[in-house]
Amino acid sequence: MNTYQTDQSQEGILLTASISATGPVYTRAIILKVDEPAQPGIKVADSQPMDHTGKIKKALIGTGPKLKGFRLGVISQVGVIGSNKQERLENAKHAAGDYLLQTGDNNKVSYNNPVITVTENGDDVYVFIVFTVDLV
Amino acid sequence: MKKLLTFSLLCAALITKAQDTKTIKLEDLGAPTSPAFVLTDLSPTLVQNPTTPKSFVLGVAQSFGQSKSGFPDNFAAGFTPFWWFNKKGYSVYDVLGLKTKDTTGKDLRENIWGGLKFTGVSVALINKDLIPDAVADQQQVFSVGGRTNLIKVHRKSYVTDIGNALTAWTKAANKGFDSNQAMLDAMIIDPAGTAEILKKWNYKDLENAMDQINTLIAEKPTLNLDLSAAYAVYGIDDKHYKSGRTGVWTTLSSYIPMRLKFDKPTLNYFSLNASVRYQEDHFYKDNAGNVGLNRSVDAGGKAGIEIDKFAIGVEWLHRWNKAGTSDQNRTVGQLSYKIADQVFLNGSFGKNFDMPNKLITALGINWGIGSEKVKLP
Repeated sequence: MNTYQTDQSQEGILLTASISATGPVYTRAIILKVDEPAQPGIKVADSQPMDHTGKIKKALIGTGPKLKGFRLGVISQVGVIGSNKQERLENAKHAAGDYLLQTGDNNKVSYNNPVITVTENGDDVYVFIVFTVDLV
Repeated sequence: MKKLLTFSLLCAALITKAQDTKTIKLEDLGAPTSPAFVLTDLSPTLVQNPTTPKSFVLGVAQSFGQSKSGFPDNFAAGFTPFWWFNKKGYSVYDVLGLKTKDTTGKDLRENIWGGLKFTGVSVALINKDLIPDAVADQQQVFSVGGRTNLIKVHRKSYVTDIGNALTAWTKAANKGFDSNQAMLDAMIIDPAGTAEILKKWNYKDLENAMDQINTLIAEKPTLNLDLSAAYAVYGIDDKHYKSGRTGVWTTLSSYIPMRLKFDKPTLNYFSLNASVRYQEDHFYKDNAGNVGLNRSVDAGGKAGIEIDKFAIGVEWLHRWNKAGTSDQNRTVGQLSYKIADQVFLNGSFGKNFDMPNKLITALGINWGIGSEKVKLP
């Protein structure tokens, strides 16, 4: 689990990310308080920062000034492609990702060791990539 | 029909592998198509697929370590170097061989050379008697080969269909995230429990979109050109190694869809293939029974029809031999049925190069123009 020192002078933080995968990628960023997940309090400016290529545009995460105590989660789902299930399971091994958090003062933190989980639904194969950062 | 064929194949496999305690998967019965294995008639059950340089080196080291003679008892690996050295920055477009000017998929075009980067390498270290003499001793055989796709072109609207399918998938994934919101929160709260949480994930929104993409991926190109090459060295004794076989072959294929509707699987084709192969065999047995070098060139083609899991076709090849063997022809009619992914039950009748007027079983091993085939015992 990464931790990240927030800069209270900023309205939010910027997220850039790149997922390398053998299939289309869909990503959503979510911010919440671990002990109060039903009331996140801070909005994610762009909850769908990534298109299916895995190449992310810079996205503002959090529109409120009080980010301390929240956890930022970025979850990517990859639809692994291949001509048959065996090939899809092999291709699933190639999924990788990293992302970068950045505040206005160019303070950056990178995160290259997400939790990667391969799942199956019948003959379909998916990879979920989960990044989490505690904003302290 | 499928169950009967599958049962028959499994029974045959169990009989031939009665002394082998390893579990045999149906996919393992498919004939290998990697050049180093084709050249040495290698069983696919031996082949490893290392995904990193580390695992490849480890596999080689283990096979040497387990050997008493200093040469691995049997080791074979097939891999794609691209996945070893280019882990970052590739997207679904790279994998599909498509070009786009930006990440949104605008001006999507097919990169006809997109298959080059997935050139496969195969290596085999085996003990096998590949010399057709009276002595039944096995040789230490080292074989290395490569296979690449030089050109691949699909139908004109294929790229548009792929782009639309990817967009549909992204929309479906968005919908799926909405309907699984509680699990998203749970994964962020407890990332270590992601695998357990995802067991309840509802994939219903994605199933159709995923099927569309996979159907398009399975679609065969209207024009395809492959090139393969392999080289094998035989250890005659502990100190002497000699060139065994060298082969270079190429196949130009065209698959003309007989039904093209995006919402239905495109599985029916009229296919035309043309192939050329050059092979050197330093231990070739000619008509007089002498073993020596033979250089041969094969050229020919195949025409066929594929309807769902069935395929029927006729293959003709001419072989020019340099050694004391006259030129030969091979004319074979083929009928195959796809039992499972990568596994084909294949029947053939006709005249082979060295088996005149006999019923023969067509193999991916010898020529394998088209799909992979399985040899029946």
